[in-house]
Amino acid sequence: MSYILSEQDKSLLSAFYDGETTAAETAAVRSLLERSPEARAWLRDAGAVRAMSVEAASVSLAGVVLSGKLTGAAVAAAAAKQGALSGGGFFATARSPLGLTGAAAILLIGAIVAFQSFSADSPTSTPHEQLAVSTSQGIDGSLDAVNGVTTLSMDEASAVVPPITLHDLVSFAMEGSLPVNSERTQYVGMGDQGSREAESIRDIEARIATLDQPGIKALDSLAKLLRGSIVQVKENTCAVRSDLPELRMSVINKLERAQLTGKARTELVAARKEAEADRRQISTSLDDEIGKMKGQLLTAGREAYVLIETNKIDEKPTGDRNYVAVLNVVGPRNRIITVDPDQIRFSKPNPTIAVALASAETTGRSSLKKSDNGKAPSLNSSNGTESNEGARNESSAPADSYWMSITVNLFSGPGMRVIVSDDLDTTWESPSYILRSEPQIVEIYSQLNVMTDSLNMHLGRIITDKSKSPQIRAWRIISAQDAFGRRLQRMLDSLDKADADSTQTPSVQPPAGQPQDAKKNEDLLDKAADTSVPTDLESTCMPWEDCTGIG
Amino acid sequence: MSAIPGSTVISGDAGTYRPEARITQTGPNKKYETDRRRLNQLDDSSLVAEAREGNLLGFDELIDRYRDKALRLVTSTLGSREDAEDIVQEVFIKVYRSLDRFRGEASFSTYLYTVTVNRCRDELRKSKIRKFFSFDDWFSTNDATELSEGNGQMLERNERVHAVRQAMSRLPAQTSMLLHLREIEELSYKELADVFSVEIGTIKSRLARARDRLREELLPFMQEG
Repeated sequence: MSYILSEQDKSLLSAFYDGETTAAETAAVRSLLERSPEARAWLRDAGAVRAMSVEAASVSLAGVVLSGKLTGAAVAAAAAKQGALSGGGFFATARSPLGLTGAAAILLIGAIVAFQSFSADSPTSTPHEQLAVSTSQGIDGSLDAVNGVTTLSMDEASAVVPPITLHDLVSFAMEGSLPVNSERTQYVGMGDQGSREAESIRDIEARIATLDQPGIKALDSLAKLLRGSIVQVKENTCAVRSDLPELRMSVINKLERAQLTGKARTELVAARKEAEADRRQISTSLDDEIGKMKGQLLTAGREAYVLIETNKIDEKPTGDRNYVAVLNVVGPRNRIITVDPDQIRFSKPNPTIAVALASAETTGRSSLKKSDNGKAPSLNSSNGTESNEGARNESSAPADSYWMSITVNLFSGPGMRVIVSDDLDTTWESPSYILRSEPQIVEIYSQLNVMTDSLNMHLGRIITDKSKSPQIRAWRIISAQDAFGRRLQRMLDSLDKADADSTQTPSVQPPAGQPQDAKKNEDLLDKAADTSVPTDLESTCMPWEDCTGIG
Repeated sequence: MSAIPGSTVISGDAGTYRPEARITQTGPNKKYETDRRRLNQLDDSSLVAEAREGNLLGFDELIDRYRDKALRLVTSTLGSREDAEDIVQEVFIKVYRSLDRFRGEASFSTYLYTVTVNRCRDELRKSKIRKFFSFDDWFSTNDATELSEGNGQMLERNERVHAVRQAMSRLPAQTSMLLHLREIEELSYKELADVFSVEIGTIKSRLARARDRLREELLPFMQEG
């Protein structure tokens, strides 16, 4: 005769399962289990439920990465700000920040310290001081893409540069470097690093005393501007004001008013020349790119920012200068794909490959732009030629776009490396290639554009192919990305080999095992130019798939 | 550093300036590593004490220990990963702000879970609807290798996971949180009673009812297994 478990029975069994019964209750449960198969089944099923719950919980967090590193310092900063919003002083010191990390990656400096100023009177507030108080949008600073323009929500906690001292200011003028942590163990720099003599800097600092009040106030204003010139977006990538070279010139101009003499003057003159050269080189490229990609820049108020990756490259760059790796411009960083009505989302973002700001002229640039009205985006080719593929794929391209962009790090002219970034972190690096001519940079740039457009199209097809399950589509996207990396390698190898053959000069050897056939690589590149499905991505087709027509 | 005549220079950091350290470092910060190792050995109450005294690394350690747990609970309850991040951050901010008031009568974990549960309740009250898990939770894109092998097993697992989440989402919010904290985070009945401010007897009966309901909903998967 079957036994119907009462609520009390179940409660006892549940507590017994959790080890939370008293001695008397345990005895009662044992007796029940002996006489009731239903009780035994219930207990067994409770174990199964737990196992399934644990399994579900483990899957839910797989691949989830908090968009910003949550740190004590950041929490403290946000907590202090909340305190300020509820009536405390704006710079209320919650707790003294001890032991802030100074590790290789740039971390958000969330400690609230007294705001430092050169002068007692604050100058007219700059846009950076008209800081929007963020409402806990995330530790990495929120990026909101509105009508194609990505805006930064800036607040004091997102400033990476610590309060600028006089020494920092002079160093910035002389050497083009800005500290990005309060310990001053890390810097973002332009131009030649560490070449100025310490005495020169000290002399300049001493002569600052000869400046009149307006001069000091002007420096103060610049110090505040510099404070907000670099803001953190993510751990090792930060947004830099696009006119940073201009700011350096401004600082130099102001310092020249101090009527320097001797070595200090000589050094400052040299710094000016270098800054002017930098400005020509960096700003020209930035101006060009800003002109083409205004919609994709980061903005905070009136200021334009570009993303840079802080220099974590371990190998010593060739040449004398450690150039700023200026050049990441990325689009929307959020979850990359949303396809209605399946509501497919990938927790792992697409690889983003930041577009290079090469010093040479660039050829056309195509991009998928985010469509605001839910319709498929159109291709926008800045060289004036609209790809036919755009028209053909208008109905199948995803409504939400995602970015592919490539970082090209330039070292002192001839050296180049291609880095494929996955959500602003490096996922693939080529060896360094010695480029002997600027036209090579142009060539690489244009080929990279073509290849990324091709990959974008291919990924778009994968995403919208509803005949395939989400798992299959996710796998194929990852495979396509891997294949793209391999193709990049082959392309670079072919260029390097072609150049080496023409000049008969030793070049950097590509990694062993890579194909050396330039013609074969050219064929691959031709195929890349064709925005139909690249044949070398056939490996993405799983055995149980019907890949005809889609690939 | 001397003050400039006619100006005020407040430079708390000038004393730490080290000209020779200008070059971008790519190596580890040894002091940081040492501190973290030390803190890693401390129990929660000691870390709370450290954080109270201004050592933010102490709070870092607490965050590291409980961030994922909090995220799991919030995700399980609210079903939205994007919201979950914000809420977890808010939870830690709230915990940090109330550290001075934390007396240690309950464990730090209990306190954190209490704050998290209350935050989830607030969120649910605001939205007034339960969010169901979206289709994307069926798979993890980190499992690309597994997807290429034994794909059928992955699909079965995903279906089980989906079923569990659907079943959990149909429970009353408090009950699902209770079940999560018991099954996943293995809180004791006493701790659960503290978190939910109810008697232990109530915890017992609610858990039993929750398990009973889940058992009924997930029976097909148990029979298959």
